[in-house]
Amino acid sequence: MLTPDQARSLLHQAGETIKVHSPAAPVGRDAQRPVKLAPMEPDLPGWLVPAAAAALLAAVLGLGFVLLPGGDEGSSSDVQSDRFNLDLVGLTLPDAVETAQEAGLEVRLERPSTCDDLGWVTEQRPAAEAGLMNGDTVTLVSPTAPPNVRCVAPGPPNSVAAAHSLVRYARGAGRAEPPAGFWPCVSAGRCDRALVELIGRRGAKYVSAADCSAVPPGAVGLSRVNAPCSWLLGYVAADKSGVRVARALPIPAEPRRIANSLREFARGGAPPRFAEKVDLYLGHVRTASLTAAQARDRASWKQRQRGDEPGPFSALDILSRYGGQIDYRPAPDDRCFGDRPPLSRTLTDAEADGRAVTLTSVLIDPPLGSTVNCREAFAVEVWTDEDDRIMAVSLGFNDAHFYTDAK
Amino acid sequence: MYEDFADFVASQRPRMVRTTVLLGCPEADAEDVVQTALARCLRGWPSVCNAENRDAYVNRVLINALNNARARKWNGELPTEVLPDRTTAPPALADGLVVRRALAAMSTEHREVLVLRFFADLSERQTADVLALPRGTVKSRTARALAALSAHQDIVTLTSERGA
Repeated sequence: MLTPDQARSLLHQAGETIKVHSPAAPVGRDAQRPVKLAPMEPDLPGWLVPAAAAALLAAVLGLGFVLLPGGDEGSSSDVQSDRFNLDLVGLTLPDAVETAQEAGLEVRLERPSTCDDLGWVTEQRPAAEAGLMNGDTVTLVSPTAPPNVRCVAPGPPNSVAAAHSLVRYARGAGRAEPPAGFWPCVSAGRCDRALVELIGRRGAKYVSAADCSAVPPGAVGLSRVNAPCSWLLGYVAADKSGVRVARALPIPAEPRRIANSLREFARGGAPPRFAEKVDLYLGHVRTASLTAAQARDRASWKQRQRGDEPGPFSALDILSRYGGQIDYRPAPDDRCFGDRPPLSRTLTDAEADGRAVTLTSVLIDPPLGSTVNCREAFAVEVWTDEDDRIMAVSLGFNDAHFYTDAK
Repeated sequence: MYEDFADFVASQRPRMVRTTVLLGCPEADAEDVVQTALARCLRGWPSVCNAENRDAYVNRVLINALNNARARKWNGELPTEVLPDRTTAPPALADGLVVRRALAAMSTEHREVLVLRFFADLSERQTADVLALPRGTVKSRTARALAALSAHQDIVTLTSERGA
């Protein structure tokens, strides 16, 4: 058995594998990002004003960070004083608090006790349209289930609750139940299982149905950013019998254009806009990080997952060689890829580096029928940052040997 | 007062982040948890200063922050990422990852005592204060956790390789 000294040695060795970002030497975009405090519980006495706390922490640490969005102006005295609109309704509570704090707002919470615990912000005061300024206080209303009370009769299912339940299921990696009726709906062909994969990624925001023309009456849209109708991912509708329909929507024009620019680059065209760092993934594993200059060199794109596995492969080579029809999708076609698409579910490495986490991904995916069989199926996923620059590209396929043999 | 706090942050923050990760927090969230804990320490700085044992006090705050984050951030949980492949990592790094994998496979109770005792280097009494447990419970739990860690197949392999 290990002695205490051996255990101490092992644990310290384990600790050395954990990269701690030094505030004095921020990585990448961190240099321009605000110091942020994680959201705090509403029952804590005496809210610590987030901006003041951030300022204090920054000051005592000598960070040289700036404290407000758009902080690349260089100092907090340069803070813009214009009013801005910030729509927090529909965000999950932690995301809403974090977003508000990053915008320099003080946050107050109201947690009315109700059995209809949606898990997201249902109201903000003042409303987004009223305009906010740094230092303003915004009140977020988010219902919560009452303690010590069993909500045995939660009322008939509705689209909002079903959408939330589906998101919980998607993000809970099997630890949560899907909403009632979801699997029968999939079997009946009215629900896309791909939607689960899609909304299981970070960054989704939930908007009400009435706002977007693509969302049928009575359904709830699922959108990823604050421009809900132009970045709508799908929608969910439910009635008393459970989920009636859940659909992923076609990729909107702008992300489609960005994905196509990568395909054109693969075929010899001009390079698209790349972020300062471009991560390359093979399946779920990051295999390389390129600078923007390296990314513009097609030869840099060849990657191999492990030394003993087939390869190397290049997403550009495969895109360039494939001459058939292409679809732009929010998620891989599960008829070939099954339950677990061969792509990274999230860009954990980028998040760990402190790079932008407001991501949009688009998949370039030959539709079924355009390839001879599923052995040929591949998917190239393009992740963009908040400035619409390509920051990661993931390549996945069913059968790596097919592409090895084809070379 | 805040100069003390600055010193405290500068010296303790990296260890707090690592402790948080070893306790099972995803790396992407650990710095937020530590920042929450530090903000609480700042707000209650006189209490931290006056605490009979500052390390135990701070670790208690840290574990509370971690537990709150776990309860709150249901949507922050993601499937466990595949750790970097051992063959591509330097030996020391690979060994450390093996230990992290073994820790991740342990119960929370065992992981907590191991991390607090052998990474945060708290005494049995300090660990008991942090976890609000009797000292005897910490002692017996530590023994069982050590036995469990020793029996983990990866640790068996690792220690036998080192012995070879």
